[in-house]
Amino acid sequence: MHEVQKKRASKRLLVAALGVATVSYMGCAADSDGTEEDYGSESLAEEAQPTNTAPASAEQSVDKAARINSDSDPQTTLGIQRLPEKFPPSGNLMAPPPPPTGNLMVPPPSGNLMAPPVLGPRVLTPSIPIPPPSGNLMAPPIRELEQLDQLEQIELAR
Amino acid sequence: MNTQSTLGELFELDLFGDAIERRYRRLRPEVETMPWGTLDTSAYPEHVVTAARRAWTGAAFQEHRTGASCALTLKALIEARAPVDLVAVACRFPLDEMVHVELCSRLAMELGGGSEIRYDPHELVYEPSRELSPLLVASELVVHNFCVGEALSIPLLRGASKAAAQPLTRAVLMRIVRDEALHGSFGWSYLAWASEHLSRDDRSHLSELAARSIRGILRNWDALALELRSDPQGRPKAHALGWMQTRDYLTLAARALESKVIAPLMRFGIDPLAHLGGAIEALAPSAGAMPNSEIAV
Repeated sequence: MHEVQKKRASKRLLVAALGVATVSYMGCAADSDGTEEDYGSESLAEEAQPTNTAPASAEQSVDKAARINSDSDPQTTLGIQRLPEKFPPSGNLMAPPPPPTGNLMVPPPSGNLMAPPVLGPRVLTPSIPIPPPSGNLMAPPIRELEQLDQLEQIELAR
Repeated sequence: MNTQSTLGELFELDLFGDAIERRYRRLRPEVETMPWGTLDTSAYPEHVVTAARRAWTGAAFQEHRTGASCALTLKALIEARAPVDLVAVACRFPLDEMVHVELCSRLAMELGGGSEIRYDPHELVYEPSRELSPLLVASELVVHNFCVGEALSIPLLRGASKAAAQPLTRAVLMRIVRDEALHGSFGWSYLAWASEHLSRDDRSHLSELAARSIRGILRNWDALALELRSDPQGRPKAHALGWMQTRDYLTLAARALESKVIAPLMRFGIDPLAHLGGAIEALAPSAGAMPNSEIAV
């Protein structure tokens, strides 16, 4: 650990208990054209019923993993509630939690769900020019500098 | 932080500590004056406490999302050259949201710890198309996040605070309500300025967007409506840990949507109702027991 990091005593503010009431919030293919399918297409009720319709997108893989992770019993999948997607506004609406029917204590993950880090070859991306940082550095205007140079040269010529 | 997995990133948070935390505490001293350590969960069955942990972790996550929404909106307001004093007022909002994130997180920890939320940070909030004009980008974000999200949040948070029986849950919710009052009125101040620059097509575009925002919220409440149909009596005592009975919540939500969101939007020529097809009317439950019926919008 770097020495600077050692000196700082950061504090844990929120620590998640793994397996307790898991919620998967993975966004969706949302808000492209505003059609009904764009948001909330996978409601809580639908979530509890796995379908056989591939293709297995990354999102579906997540759902599948979450289901395997919990239990095949729809009662316990209540804990795997999907927040429908990113489109709803973000305000804290303090909705009551879903009812505590069945076992809300979802078992902790069994099996290796933590993907190993990708150790493939490092990909070097070409450097792309980006705009400079936005801080106000109060540099004198270039035009004025040029004028000052000219004035200086006139003074020197005299 | 090593929280990345195939299931998304785990929602866990830290404080930096030391001088940075002291500076933050000076900015918002009210956080430490909450009655921390007074929460008594002994009267509640374990599944209710677990539900409360999930509810408060979810609240922290929603506040976290709101922080990102406020920051994104702030950038859009600057790009649209909104009036400087209006932008300056909005500068406070991300800080407010970080305070709320801390309050909700600490409450979840007092209940026994956070629940597991996994999410994709790139999909945290709605971002308008960059092909729209700066004014329309700002207008979309303000309508979506403030005229719908924040305006609706206030009466619901107030209702939850009145239903909360524990001093800590009530104090936290009241604090959030006090901050959010300014957030809720901000959208209307923005529209009072932007209105004269918005064309008929812009208003039509914003009407559709507002309907999508509202429908997105209604979708999130589908599970509550299902619950109400299966258990119309509600759950005694559970609301003491910080949320309202389902029937009260949905009744209040329907009323608040109409009076605090749709009616003010229509005054600015933004009409989401045409795109909602009776969804609001379907939200309000039929008459029945009203355990928290003293709650008004």
